[in-house]
Amino acid sequence: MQETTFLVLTALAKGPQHGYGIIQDVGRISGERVALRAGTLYGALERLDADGLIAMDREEIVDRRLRRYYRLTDEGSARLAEEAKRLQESAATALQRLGERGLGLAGGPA
Amino acid sequence: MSAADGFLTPGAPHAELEQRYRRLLRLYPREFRARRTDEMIGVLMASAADGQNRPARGDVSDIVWGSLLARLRGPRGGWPFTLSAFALVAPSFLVLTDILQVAFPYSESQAAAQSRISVLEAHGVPAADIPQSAIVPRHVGGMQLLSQPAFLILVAGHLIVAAAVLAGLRRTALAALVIATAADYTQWTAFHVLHPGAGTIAFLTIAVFLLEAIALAAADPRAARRREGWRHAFPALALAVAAQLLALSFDAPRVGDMMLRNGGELHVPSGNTMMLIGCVLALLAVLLPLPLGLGWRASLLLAAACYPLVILATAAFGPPFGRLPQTLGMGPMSAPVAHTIIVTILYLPPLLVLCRAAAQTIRTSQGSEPAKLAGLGGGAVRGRRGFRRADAGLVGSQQAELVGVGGATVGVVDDE
Repeated sequence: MQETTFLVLTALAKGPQHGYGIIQDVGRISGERVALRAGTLYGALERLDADGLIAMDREEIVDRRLRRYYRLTDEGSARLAEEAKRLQESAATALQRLGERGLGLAGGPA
Repeated sequence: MSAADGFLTPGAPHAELEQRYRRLLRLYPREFRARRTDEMIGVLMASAADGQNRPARGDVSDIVWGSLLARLRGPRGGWPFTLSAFALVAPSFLVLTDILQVAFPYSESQAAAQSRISVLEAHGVPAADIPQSAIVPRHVGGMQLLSQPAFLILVAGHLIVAAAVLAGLRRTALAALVIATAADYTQWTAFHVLHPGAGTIAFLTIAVFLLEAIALAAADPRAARRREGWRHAFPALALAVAAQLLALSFDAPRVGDMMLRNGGELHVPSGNTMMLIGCVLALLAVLLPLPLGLGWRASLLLAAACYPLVILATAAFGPPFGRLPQTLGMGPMSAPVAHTIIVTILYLPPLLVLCRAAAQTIRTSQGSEPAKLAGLGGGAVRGRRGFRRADAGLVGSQQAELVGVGGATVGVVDDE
């Protein structure tokens, strides 16, 4: 799973969100490291929608602008959980091995 | 942050910005634009800074890149959809090539048959080894095919595949494919080395076999139903007619004589319209999915189906096919042996993949329900359902449309 995909799914794990909301949330989740733009975001949403991982929740008109809200599907939740677990295990292994060499969380060259 | 104020005032910087963004979004495919423009404008305008009247450079490159990807990806679907659409259309292609073979027989001239001996000798075949059957004028195609057991098994296999696909019996379709492939192999290895054209259909059929096997293993009819299937018939039928025309042009007496007089080097006469139209149609079949909005995947699949045509075209303009074993350092050998080796080289990879697809489908059918239906598609189509009987009605109507389209395609050939 690509990082963008993972972050978008994570943003939607909180509850339904619209496009701009997802962009802001992804920024927050990633510590402002990932700044999604419209082209990338809608490419990801298209793909996730086609794969059945997300679905449209509702539409709203705010300030005469269309806002479409998306939510995670059950399949999307399952895939996100699967991926999160995989990442957690990889990270745990990495930290454990670094720990064995005395380069744990606190250590490591800058 | 909000762009609402600007939106309400015509002529304000934000209205100008919106206009520019809208122009930029025209890069996306029409279908994508219809669904997404308003929504994306909302996001783009919300991200715009106060007083900004030109699209941000980052947004421009992101939209250009995103629209490119959207165009490459084609309208919704991706591989699972393209494969399932191919699974629906490919059997009609197979059956059509069979019908064309029976409907358009062709014969060699006596001179061509006589002079074949010199070609065989040029291939290094001792005169004593040349079978009597090699100098008798050959009649290809026509009703006589119906008295050949291998051809009947082949046609039966194709019909079973087509019927099984419509009925949703994917494993039956795969089994029929494997049997028909074996029959096809037997039939064409029995043919003579100097029959490259007749082999074209066989080779092309093999390529479609392979693709059909993959398609069947990964098919997702839910996705197939989302789009009109008849558009997929245009390229498949163009390809079928192209294959038949190319086969005829290779084997037409005039071309055959030319080839033989040149000691096995095939020089296609410039005036050979059949060859030309065949090539144009094959090219058209590969390119057609793009303007029809079927996406690049369909093009890729059709291009893969064309691979035997490409091999034969190279063989036609380069050294003849029959010399390939010698080129590979296998020494002189009889023409039938050489032909068998060549056909095996062409058949073996598709056959292996076919068997793998069949084995995988059977193996996974003993596992859990979702895995059973996933087949080769693996994770990508996991959990999707196989063909259901309920689909048969819709599929049937699409198939009926294919016949109509077939007539139209032949009409195009006549016009050219």
